Amino acid sequence: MDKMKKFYGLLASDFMKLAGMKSVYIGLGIMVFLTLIFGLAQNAFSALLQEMPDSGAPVDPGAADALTGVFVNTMLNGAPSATGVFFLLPIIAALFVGSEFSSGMARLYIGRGVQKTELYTSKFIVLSVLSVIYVCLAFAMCSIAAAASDIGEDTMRNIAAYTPSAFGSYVFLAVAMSAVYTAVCFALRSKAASMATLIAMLIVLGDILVIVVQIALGTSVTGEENAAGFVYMLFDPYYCADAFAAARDFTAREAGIAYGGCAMWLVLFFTGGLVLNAKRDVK
Amino acid sequence: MTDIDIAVATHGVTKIYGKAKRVDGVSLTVRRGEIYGLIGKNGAGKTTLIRMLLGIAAPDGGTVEINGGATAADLARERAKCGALIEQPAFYPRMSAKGNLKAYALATGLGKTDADGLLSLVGLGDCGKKQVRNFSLGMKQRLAIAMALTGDPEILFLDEPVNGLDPTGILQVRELIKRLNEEQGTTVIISSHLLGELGRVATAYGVMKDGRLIAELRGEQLASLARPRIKAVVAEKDRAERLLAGTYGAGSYAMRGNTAEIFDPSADIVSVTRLFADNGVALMQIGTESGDLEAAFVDML
Repeated sequence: MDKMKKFYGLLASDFMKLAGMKSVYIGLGIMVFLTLIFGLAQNAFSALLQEMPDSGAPVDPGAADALTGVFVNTMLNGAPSATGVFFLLPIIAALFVGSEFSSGMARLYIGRGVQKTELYTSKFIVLSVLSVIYVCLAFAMCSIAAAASDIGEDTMRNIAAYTPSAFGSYVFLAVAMSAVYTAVCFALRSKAASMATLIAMLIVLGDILVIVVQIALGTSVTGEENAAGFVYMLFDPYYCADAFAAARDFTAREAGIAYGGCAMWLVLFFTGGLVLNAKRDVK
Repeated sequence: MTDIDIAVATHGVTKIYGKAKRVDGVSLTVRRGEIYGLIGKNGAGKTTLIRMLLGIAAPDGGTVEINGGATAADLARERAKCGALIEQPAFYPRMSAKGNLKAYALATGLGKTDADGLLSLVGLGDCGKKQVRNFSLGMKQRLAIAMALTGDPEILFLDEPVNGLDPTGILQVRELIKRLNEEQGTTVIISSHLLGELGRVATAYGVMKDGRLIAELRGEQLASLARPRIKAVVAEKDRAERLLAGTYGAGSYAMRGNTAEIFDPSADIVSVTRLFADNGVALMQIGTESGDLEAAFVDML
């Protein structure tokens, strides 16, 4: 009981420190800014489509609605990607965990009987909560921006049908990614090194790897043959950050690979980081 | 001495970094209520030893015992009763001193703490909401001491606690350590290379050299080191020792090689010279020493 009480104290202290970090609020500001940009761009795009003469006549309202719908769908159902959540979180995680080591507080806590595993678990929980909050806020902001768009009711209903599954998937992904961030930050124990590594992982695993695999499989991911091979990209949680926008359309195989993959990374990174951290001395 | 009297003990503790043994089979015993000074040159292994005692570094060999507990669970429980200042002061730079103390107390399960009282105790009562990153080195050191004192620890580990402090600060820390020890019975393990400072507070010493504990001194041994003495270098060691044994009581003299050390307060240079001359013991050199503890330690190191 005492041990639990002590752990709650550690958690509370970590939440208090996180709440005092400027970068958390700067991150929120960036999300609001990106949502505004997205919303304004979508409105401008919509207005442009409606006003653009095509052989002397305006664009067909149905086609314009569908095109704007694509825009809104990308923004709403891929809200965390649209607002840069998975770019902001590794930066905050690196600052949050790295400062614990650079300030020397980690060794002070351990010297006072706090277990290294408790320190690690507490950071993971705090980062998970922050990630989920960011995902929720991303959806809330993008929902407001989507509601302000002037697409038809049917199109909006179709788009909104994807939102619950996308939201749930992103929440799960946020927790899995928190395990990655925690493990990497505890392994490197430096703000700069953790930040650089996590951003490099985002670029390499989220963009470069996807493009390389696309090229290797024949440039297209839409054809059935190619899609059959490309489906394994769903093992890559960084790719899932885009793919989960269409989670509602996942086949059983795709869902198995995507969610199973995320669960696998969650467990691997969390336990791997925990064991590694427990064995290493604190500098 | 029963186990209950021992606050901290190590049994053959060893730490290896790369190929170098930074701490080599150290077995020390710190009794409850002692102010234990850990002395040694830079790189002697003092900080590494303290880091192992606190669980920050894991020993490659040997065991650590705090308040009789040696298992991981026991040590975690007992370490919760230890305050520590290790190497440089640790703090969250963007928080105030009070914020730091509160965050530390909360994270370590110490609960609510009298932050204002602690800050006043270390002379930081008027630092207000100033962020710690704007503190001077001495203020940071004071804050680190306040953090170590949070939760009224039973055992206090202080690694170079007076680094960066001005003379007033050094005096305050010394008085604080003495007061905690006398009024609350706090056991203090203090490492410093300022031997003079240590000499004014420590009641027992562990002397470290090249990772090894070469001596542990307390009580009579310590008193004998600090006693004024007459040092005489003689040609015939055995004859001189027999002569001293017959003239002065046990414990009033010591032979270190060919050097006789006489602590008896009745002895003076004239009487000792006459003693050796009358009994045909050739005297090579004779002089007095004031019994300076610091000088004795320097000789050992």
